[in-house]
Amino acid sequence: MQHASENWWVSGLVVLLSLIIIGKVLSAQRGRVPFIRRIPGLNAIDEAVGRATEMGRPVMMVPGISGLDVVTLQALSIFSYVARAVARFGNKSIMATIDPIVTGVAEETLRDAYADAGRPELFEEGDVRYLTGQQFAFATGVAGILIREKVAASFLFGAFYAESLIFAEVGQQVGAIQVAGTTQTNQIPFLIAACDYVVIGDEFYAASAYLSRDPTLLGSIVGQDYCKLLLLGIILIGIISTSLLTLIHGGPVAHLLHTLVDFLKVK
Amino acid sequence: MTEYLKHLLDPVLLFGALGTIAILSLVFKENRFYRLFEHIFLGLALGYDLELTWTTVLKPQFWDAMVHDGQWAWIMAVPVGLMFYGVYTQRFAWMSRLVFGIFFGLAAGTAFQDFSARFMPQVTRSFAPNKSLIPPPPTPGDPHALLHQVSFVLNNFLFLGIVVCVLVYFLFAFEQKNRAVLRTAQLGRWVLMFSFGAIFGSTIMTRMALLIDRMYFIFHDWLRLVKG
Repeated sequence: MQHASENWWVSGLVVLLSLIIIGKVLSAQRGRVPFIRRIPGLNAIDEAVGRATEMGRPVMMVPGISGLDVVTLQALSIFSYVARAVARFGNKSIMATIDPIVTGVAEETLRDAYADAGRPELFEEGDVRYLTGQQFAFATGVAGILIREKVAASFLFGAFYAESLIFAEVGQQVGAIQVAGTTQTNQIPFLIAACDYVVIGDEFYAASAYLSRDPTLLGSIVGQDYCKLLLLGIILIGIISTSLLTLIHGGPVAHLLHTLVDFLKVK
Repeated sequence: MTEYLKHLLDPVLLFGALGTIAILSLVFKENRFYRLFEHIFLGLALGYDLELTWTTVLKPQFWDAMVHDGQWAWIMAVPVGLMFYGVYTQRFAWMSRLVFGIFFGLAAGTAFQDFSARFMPQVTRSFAPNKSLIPPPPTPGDPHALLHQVSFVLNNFLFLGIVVCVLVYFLFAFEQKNRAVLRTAQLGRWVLMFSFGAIFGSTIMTRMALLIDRMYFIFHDWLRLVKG
């Protein structure tokens, strides 16, 4: 852990980044709803749910294999949208979970989503299935459900590890249209190889804002964009200053550049 | 019964081997053999979870603290834990929402701390100061001075280029219609795909290691067809 006294400006930067995001959120809440660009993988959700309904087969959702953390909450937020689409189409959805606490939150999320869509009667207790807390046993269970239920659309959003390819391959085997997204960089290539649509990296976090069009979330995403541009600017200033220092060796300009580079150095 | 047959029918080994073959049989087709072992596997894992929760969490941190160390205040955790089950009834669902709310808050707080501890050092390491685009003067007597200088510049240009392209790809606040922005974002996506390809290549080896481990168990430990 770094102490504020050693790198006070880094701590200051975290505060500044937070303020930028809060500012954009407040601005969006006051009615200046920002624009965010199209994310192709997410447009496929309705298409996948529609296709599953036409085939008369259910939709499967897996919110990763971690506990109740930010990634899982994000996944549940996406699944809330998926569940609303499923309820609108009058189809059936199944969610498999690895964590008992996530199971409870997932049940609430799906029940609310079905109620929002005006079809609360479609939600059944067995739609959210807690399988086990062990990674590969869970993967075996999910594979079994995918095959037995003849799932036509599979959504894999959340934190995935070595089991990601098992889910995606089995989904491919049963002919399900698959949309996936994870923050685990090591698993993205496997999802890209086996799924139809994949949202990568930051797109995963932008997903719930994109789908819900909630001003608070949209403001947060745009605020984060400003933060990225600020960081990019600092990186460019650092690199240009360091480059110029190799050319300029004396005088006030070199002194100024030295001060700037020393300031940017993280102890 | 021969020694080898006795070994093949050893209950632990036989169960492990049949389980492995059953689970791998899914590669060909879903079948009853797979389904049986899938449910055995799930049941065992669930039982293991219960045992693990008791031995690593509940017993040392709750039961022993209460019964042996006299910290009876832990009894308060029981009604809080029971509130989770409120999710199963409409009447008490509000109780579960209270504890879920606390968990949401914990998750958000942890994420913020995690961001500061994990990502800020990555960000600050990108800021400079060894990322000069102009090489330092060559070391006297270095026969590969030019090569070192070229690789220094190339490396840092690549670093800068990739950071810019990938960051632009992940900007959502505007439509990528401008030609320069569009090309930069496309390049960012290409660079990401290259890195995913490299990750795929290295990670697939660990997946193969998992398969090899199972094959080793079948052919070496159980069938004894492979020596060494």
